[in-house]
Amino acid sequence: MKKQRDLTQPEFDRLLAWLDEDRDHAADKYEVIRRGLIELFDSRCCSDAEDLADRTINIVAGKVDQIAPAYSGEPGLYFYGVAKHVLQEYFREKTVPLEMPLAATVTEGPDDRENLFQCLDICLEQLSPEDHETILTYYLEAKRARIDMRQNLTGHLGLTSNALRVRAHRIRKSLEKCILLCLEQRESGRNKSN
Amino acid sequence: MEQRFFDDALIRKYLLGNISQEDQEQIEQRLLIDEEFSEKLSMTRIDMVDDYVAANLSAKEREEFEKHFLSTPEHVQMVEIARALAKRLMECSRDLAMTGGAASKIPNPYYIRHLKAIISLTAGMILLVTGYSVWEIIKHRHPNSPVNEAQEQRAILENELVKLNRPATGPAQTALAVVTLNLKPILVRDLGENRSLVISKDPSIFELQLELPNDKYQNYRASLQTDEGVELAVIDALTAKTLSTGKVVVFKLPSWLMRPGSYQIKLTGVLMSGQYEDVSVYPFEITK
Repeated sequence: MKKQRDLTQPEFDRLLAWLDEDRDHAADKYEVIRRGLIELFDSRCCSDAEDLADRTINIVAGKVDQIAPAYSGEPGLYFYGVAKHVLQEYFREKTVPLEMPLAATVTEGPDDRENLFQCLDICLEQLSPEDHETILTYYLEAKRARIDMRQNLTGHLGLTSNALRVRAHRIRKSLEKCILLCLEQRESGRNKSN
Repeated sequence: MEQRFFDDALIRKYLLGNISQEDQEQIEQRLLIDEEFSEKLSMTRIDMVDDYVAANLSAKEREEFEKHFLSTPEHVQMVEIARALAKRLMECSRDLAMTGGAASKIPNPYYIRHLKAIISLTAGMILLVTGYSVWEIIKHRHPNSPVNEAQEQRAILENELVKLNRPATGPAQTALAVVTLNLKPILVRDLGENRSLVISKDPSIFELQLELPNDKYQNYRASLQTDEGVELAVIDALTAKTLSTGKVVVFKLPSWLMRPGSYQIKLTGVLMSGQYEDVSVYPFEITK
């Protein structure tokens, strides 16, 4: 599946107008839908979930003029219908090997592992002291000890335990993004030198 | 649309591809209209990946995870990142236990390597002190002592474990009775397998013979944990031996430092590159 193009400004404006009369609310709804589509495609084990999400959005944006006059209800549910078609097309086009290797790894050798650890250390260094403390305490140890520590940390940071989980999760996601970017930069650097 | 509650267990089933069509549709529709739910799903995914890395999934979940979830390179990479992060955090956890201080940050790996050398030298000096007498002092210490009891107990236990599990055994160990227990990896053990050790009034050495599914590692790390996965002690550089039952890693425990309860040994293999891979978990019980 080829990389999706960005929406043109008029297409994007029409889409937002359909999502909500208020542009700010419309932008929020757009982000919720886009994020939801990415989670959906990722959960269905599709590679490049972002691209599939954008494809879905592009299809809906191309039909807004037809949809808007007659459609009533949550726009997100319309996107869902389109996403299901995109999924069907994705699995039709995808070549599935008869047997997937169990726990296959994309880090092929010691150099790749070394790169991963170096990128992890670089990205951990970039965290703020507060984020550092949150990650360290949230993930350290396991189960019972972790629960005690989390209760201490929520008190210290003035957070409820669910808010702490959300915060730690967001730090973890940003850490993952940092690591992936670092690995990508190292890979492109390696390709240039070859 | 009615706001149905989806708990983490159901979301996990969805992520493992083990859910009804109706539930799948409801979850996916919810993703597109509820931002908080999207975040909840993402968090559950990360927790599930962490549980896989920590070998905390059931056998069925692990199979579904490897067959379904790990079918994309992105998810495989997610697991590898989780594994790397868990390793760094484990190093920090041991650093906290050994130094007794609160680390202000996850240490630089070069500092960790230097710190390990210092700790090894210190542990060697501490080995001269009789662990049993020190343990008695700890047990009868005033309950309001400001010293962190859990960290001190861990240090005592690890010191004894280092003594018991080093290749050359000293004269003090041969004077004690040895109680042997053979344990199979968690995935292949029989329901009727004996997994109990009994604490007698005289101190003895519990020798756990951990059967290996294969022996492809340079050496092994054994983490002694409660049955809920709380780590009590870690010992490195254990090597495999060949017994009549096959290849095993022998892990010796001091009976006088153990309390009745349910425990497990989490065994990790060390590759030539220095990376760690999970081998298996070996549950066992200690009774009186």
